Amino acid sequence: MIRKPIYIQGAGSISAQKTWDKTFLEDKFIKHSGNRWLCQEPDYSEWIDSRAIRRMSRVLQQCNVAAQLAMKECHLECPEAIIVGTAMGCLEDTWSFLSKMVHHQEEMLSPTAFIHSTHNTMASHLALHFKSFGHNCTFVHRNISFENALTDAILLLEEGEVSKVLVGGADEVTDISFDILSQLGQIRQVESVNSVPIPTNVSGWIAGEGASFFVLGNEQTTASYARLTEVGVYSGFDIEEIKQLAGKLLATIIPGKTIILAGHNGDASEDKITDEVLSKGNGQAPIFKYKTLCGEYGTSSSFALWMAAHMLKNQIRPTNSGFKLVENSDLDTVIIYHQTSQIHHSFILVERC
Amino acid sequence: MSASVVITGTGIISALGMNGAETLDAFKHHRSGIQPIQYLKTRHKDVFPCGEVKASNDDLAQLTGLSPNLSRSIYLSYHAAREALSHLHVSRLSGLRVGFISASTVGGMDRTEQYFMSSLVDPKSGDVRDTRHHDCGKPTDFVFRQLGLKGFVSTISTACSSSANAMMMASRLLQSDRLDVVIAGGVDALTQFTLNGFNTLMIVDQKQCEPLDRDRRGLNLGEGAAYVVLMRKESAEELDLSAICHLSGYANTNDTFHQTALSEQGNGPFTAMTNALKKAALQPGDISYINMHGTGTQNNDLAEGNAIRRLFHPDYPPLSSTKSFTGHTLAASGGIEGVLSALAIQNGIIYPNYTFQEPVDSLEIRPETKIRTDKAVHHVLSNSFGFGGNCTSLIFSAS
Repeated sequence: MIRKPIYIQGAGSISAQKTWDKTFLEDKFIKHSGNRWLCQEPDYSEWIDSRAIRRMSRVLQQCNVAAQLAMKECHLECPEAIIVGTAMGCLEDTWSFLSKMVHHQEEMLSPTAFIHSTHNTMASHLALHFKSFGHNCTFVHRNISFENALTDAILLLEEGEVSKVLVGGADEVTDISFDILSQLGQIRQVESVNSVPIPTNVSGWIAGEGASFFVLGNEQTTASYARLTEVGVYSGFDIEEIKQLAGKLLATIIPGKTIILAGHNGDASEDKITDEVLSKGNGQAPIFKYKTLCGEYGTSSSFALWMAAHMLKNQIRPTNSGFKLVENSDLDTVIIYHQTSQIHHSFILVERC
Repeated sequence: MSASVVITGTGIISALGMNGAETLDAFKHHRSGIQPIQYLKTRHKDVFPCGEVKASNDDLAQLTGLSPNLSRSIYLSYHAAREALSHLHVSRLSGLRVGFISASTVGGMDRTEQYFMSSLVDPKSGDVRDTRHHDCGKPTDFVFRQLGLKGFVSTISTACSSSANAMMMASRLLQSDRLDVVIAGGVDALTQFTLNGFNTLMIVDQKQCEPLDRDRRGLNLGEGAAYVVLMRKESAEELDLSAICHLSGYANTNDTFHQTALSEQGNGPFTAMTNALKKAALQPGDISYINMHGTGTQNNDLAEGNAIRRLFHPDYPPLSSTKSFTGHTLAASGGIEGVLSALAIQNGIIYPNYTFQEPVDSLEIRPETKIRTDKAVHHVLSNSFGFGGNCTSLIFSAS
């Protein structure tokens, strides 16, 4: 129930695929091995001042460049609002400060890592970088952080006080967090070799990361990718209730004109739920498991939105090896479905414009 | 004209007390909650006084009826949220679209610290499951489920303005008719991480802090949680609930100056206050009381003071920083001060500074030094400014 037309006017992404230079759309998908997939990154020094880079963690560099990519596409120099979703925040700096604090028994600490450890570092860094004095917010609610950020952006654009919003999702995987997730048994223990698609029916998932940013605005331009028509987030419901809610949304599928980007992460018990919810679509639309390309992370739906935007604009569809043109240019709608741990279920609907 | 959003319930836990009544009592008796550290394990125990909630985790577990060994943020958040909802049984919410929006900067960092400390001594001794409490969304999810809610849940983290933004987001979701009732506010427990972090910035006072004073030395950290129950005016009428006040104005801006400092002229704070007044369709002269962000640091009080001077000179309303009683509760501060603002309107109270000697040289600003009950409080401006330039101002108005 988005009450004003909202278009994706620019999109930038740094992910485990070569999204930053868009060769991802042309070439074969990059096949990663191991259970921790790092981003394919550009030479950041071409984008960020070299003195500034030294003080920036990887996720901050990713945010900066993904945001620049999105803004460049629509010739935007200063967004009127900046909204970021991040499930885990600036982990590298958090662990850095925490480790030093424990090792040095609360003495001889420097402020740098602490300053950069706060969750709002990304959004405030972008505000400083683009000199954006407007609304600035950071959502940190697990796997719906990016969806919350989109909701805030939608509200702003509906309220009509701004016309262009920079919104993104970003998370990083670090040595310490990977180790912790492994110890918790959440990471897949068997080696996944060259895994697109990820082998399923095992326990655990593959850790991913990335930053994807979008300029959303009320105006449709020739450069616009697609129209954002729904962001539905459902939390705390039992599976039967979720199936009912999903059923209503999936009932809008027009066969042959819709593709679902689904958040299966390869963990058998998680994927069982994802399948069950999507079964309410009665197989009316092909399902592509987008995390086979980017790995699992809280804000991975932002990567899926980047994909959806390009699929609709370029009329392409993902296969197991790479993108192919859609026959008769018949792709009208992409539905993104993302859930983990069965608490929060989100649907993002994007339509051709 | 957008729908009027009212506050029907409040909940608060801080160094001043376990609920609203105890909090007001502390102000009536001019009792600061800032004391030597009693509960946090830290080597700075005897160096920095803090505004701790006067209860151990075991006490809090018992008080809330929750299981032991949760993160401190969960106990604080649940306790305050339950008080906020005490006027409205969850069964009365059935059929309504309910949301819970909390705010946090540390989440369950206390449990992560435990894990790091034990695994440093012996890599095999730490319990890695402690880290399951780490993320900011964890306490929110826990409380959301514990309250028996389903629907919309979110956590905001914009440093010290976090819970002000939670209330603002709540109001916008209500005005756009996406939700019917929202419990909004925030929580932060005191942790080693934050105490040491702020200490590296050399802005923590070793004595009771003195916000707005010429000789201020820095801030005292605190902890706590506070929530308000928000709904559209019509919903409150349908539920037969009386409004404590309404949230009439809000604005979120970025100062865009520095990661940890505000611009000297307070550009972000000035715009936040100006836009919040505009949103509420009020003039500066309409404000009965300003609950300042007033951390007690050199930088904040000068920047905020300059912004207030730019907007209010020469007719300043009564103002004060209640952080001199609660300490700076970070993500919870906007919630705590929002609840204090609502209680100010409800009870006709203007809060004082705990102490005040001399004004800042370039500013005329003199905070109240004694609690005032001599005038009706119609509109309260509450400021929350944070690292990263995040500035949010809220306006609470009598209904």
